[in-house]
Amino acid sequence: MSVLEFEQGYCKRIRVYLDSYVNNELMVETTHEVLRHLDGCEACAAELEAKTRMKNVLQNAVMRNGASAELRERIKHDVRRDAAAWWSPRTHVMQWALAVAAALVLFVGGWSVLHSFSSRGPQPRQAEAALLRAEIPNAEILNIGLADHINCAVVHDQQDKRLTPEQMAERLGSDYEGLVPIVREKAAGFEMMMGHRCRLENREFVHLILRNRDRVCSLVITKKNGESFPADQTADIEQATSISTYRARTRDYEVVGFETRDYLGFVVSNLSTSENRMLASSLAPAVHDFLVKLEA
Amino acid sequence: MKFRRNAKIDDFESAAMPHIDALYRAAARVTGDRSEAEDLVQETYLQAWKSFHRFQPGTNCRAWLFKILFHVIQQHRRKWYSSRGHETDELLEQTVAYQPPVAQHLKDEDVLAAFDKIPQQYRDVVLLADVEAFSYKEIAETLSIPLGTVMSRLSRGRKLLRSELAGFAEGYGINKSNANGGGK
Repeated sequence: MSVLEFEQGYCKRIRVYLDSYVNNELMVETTHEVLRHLDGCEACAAELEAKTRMKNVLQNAVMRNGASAELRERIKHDVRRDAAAWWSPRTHVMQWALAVAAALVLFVGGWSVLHSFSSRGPQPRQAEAALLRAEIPNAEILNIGLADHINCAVVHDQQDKRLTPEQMAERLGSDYEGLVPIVREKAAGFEMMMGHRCRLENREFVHLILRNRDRVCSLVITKKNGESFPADQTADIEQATSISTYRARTRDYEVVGFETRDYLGFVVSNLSTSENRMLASSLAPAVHDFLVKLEA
Repeated sequence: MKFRRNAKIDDFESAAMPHIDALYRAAARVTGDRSEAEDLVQETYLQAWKSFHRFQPGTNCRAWLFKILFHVIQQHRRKWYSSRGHETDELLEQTVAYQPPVAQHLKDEDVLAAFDKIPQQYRDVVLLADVEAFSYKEIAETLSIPLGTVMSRLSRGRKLLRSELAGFAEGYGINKSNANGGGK
């Protein structure tokens, strides 16, 4: 790979960040990375200037319009009229009577639903998990990683817990504790929240959770149980990195999968397709190498 | 009783009315029609008043009002969409491949005309991010869409706006090669 190609690839990476940079939505580390690049790259600096100028031009043009005095008066009139109707004695009594009746109906209905659940229905956690379970059609293997992410990080709120690297190493065990420094290094801009082993439907997972504000990402690893990514997998197959990765998305989640001889690995998140792909292209090769060494 | 009622109205007006210009601007850009925008804002304020007991003082009243506004807009859009078509993502992909420069001098009316040409789902996000300066999280909550969708729509919306603006710039004789310099 020539130096020029490397620079162009890096520019492409930085330009993905520029929209978020303009809106001040980047993590501090990523902001510094962008600023360092802009110092030495005129093309990217010009691109940033164009984006900023366009934002200002639009803001100035739209800001010139305001609501009319007539609209303000109409709204104030609406509010006073509605308030007068609500506070009139007759309406007041009627509305309170309705509110009491509605509360009674809700109480009786709620009690009977709860009663039937506690006697024979599924537990609330199970029901919640079932509701949140998202599946990608024609991407059966990718659903393995997706299911663990949703069950563990989302439903059981592990995304909100924060462990120290030492605690994560202890929970992962001696075989997998080496993943902690690898993931910390490769997932720039994300904070490592959790590293542990978890279990879903008789399958054991090694699970690391990363966060950047509301962006939640899981690295999920599990031993193969006879599965392998088929060559004709309907989900996209990419070979941009040194290993083959497979990707698909649901409405809310993006999944990238990869495999070694004995393991399946997944990068699952609520990021955009391009962001998750970028994160996976950084994480997957290093994790792949780690797992191959483990197999040796 | 009258005193309590007036105090509640005062609380509502002091919290909500300062944001009327921002709400009207957004509604006007979304609908492209002043009269329709006024109706949407009026409906928004009435709904906000009716649910003001659920608003927690000290929280972001502007974001709360925008969420109601876009809920009202969404209800209206269901009617609009039955009579208007909208472009598919595939068609849009073809129009955003080239990133033209942004000219220095553009008339406000041309900027607004260019902005109004962008498909609605992108216009909403660009408006909330670039004009109203909401965070990605607030936009996701306002429009009830995932955070990743906010980011992708913002990026694509900006590209589309840039393409449209380039068309206006070329109309003034500012061609692609000198538009970036803006007369240097």
